[in-house]
Amino acid sequence: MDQGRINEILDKIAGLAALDYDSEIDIKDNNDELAAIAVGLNMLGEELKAQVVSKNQLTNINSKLEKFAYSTAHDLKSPLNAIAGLVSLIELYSQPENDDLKACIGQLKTVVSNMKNMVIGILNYSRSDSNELDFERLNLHELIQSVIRQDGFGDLAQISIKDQLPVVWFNKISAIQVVRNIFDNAIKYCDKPLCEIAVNVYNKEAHYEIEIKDNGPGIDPKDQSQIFDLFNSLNQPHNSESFGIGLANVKQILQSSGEKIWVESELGAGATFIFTLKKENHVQRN
Amino acid sequence: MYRETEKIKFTMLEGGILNTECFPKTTMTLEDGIESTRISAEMNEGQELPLLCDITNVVKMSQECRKHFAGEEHAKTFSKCALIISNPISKIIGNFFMGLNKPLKPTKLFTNKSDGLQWLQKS
Repeated sequence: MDQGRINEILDKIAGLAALDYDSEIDIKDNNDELAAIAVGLNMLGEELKAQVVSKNQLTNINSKLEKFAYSTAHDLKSPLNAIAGLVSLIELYSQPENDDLKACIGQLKTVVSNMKNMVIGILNYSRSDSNELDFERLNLHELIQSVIRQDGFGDLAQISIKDQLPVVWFNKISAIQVVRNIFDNAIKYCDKPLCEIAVNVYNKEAHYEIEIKDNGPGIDPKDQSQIFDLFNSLNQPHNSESFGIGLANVKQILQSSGEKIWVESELGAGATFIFTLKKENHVQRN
Repeated sequence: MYRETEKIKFTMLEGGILNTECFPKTTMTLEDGIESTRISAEMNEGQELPLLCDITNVVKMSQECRKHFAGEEHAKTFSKCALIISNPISKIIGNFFMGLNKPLKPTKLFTNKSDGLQWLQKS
């Protein structure tokens, strides 16, 4: 007689494994251990269903928020471009002799430029969670040298690249964004007369760990968990143009591709950003 | 003082302890939970009194009902709660409630009423 009840329990477990949370075991009149197991499984199914519903609701809300952020940033881009153009025209046509007026126009250009950078940052952040990225073999050494050359980082910092960097498997544009943001931050936040950046790589089993170390002011351990949050820029004297988008963008780019990034730092001792990239061979073999 | 609904008996014991006990084979839904909270609040006259809650006769308690009993509205009606679980089904419901729903006020499981009462009577 109990075999029938045991079969019902097994069916319920199979149902849960198949993500069927709605079926319920009928408890009947028994109040024994088998009935208790059945009640427990029924309740587990209910709890799982409630969690799935909550997760789906959160996913929908996040998706709507991301679309809202993207469309708002996108809509702000055109008027900001127009304002930037008009400010340049005002500067050109008025040719102010009044120093205060000159300074005001200069400040206005800086503010508009900062706003444009912020809007572009939000647009990049909204795009960086895409699952439609194309991955390819990337010679990391060539890629980093190319970023240094194109962005003129070599004129702003002493950059040393230890060893020959490996070939990795990643999206090229995303890899450039990651490297560019980390280099840019190292230079922007540097409090020394000469900014020094060292790039190193560690060979792990399935991936490489890329390490970018700077000689900047360092990050207090209590702040380190927040630096990858959107709109979180720490209050440091050199960060007036920071909107707290760059590192959030970097983290989202890496995470959405299954990679990781973290920072190791102490105040006054520089910061080391470490991120993972998959080995080309490992991906192809799998 | 005594009241009852279709599913629950409410008795105010000496010493100001509210005792609730379900009728046999009770299935508790969210509506039953809300009604139970309302009646408890009325019998307590707004005070947070110790609660002796015997769920031995409960054969099913919905997820929404457990969530309600672990929530703020119900927590306003008692200071601490002794849950009596004296058969396999009530034991699993009680343990599920404690583990997953995590009630806001001090709550303990007991397999008999006298141990539960003793704990409630301690200040």
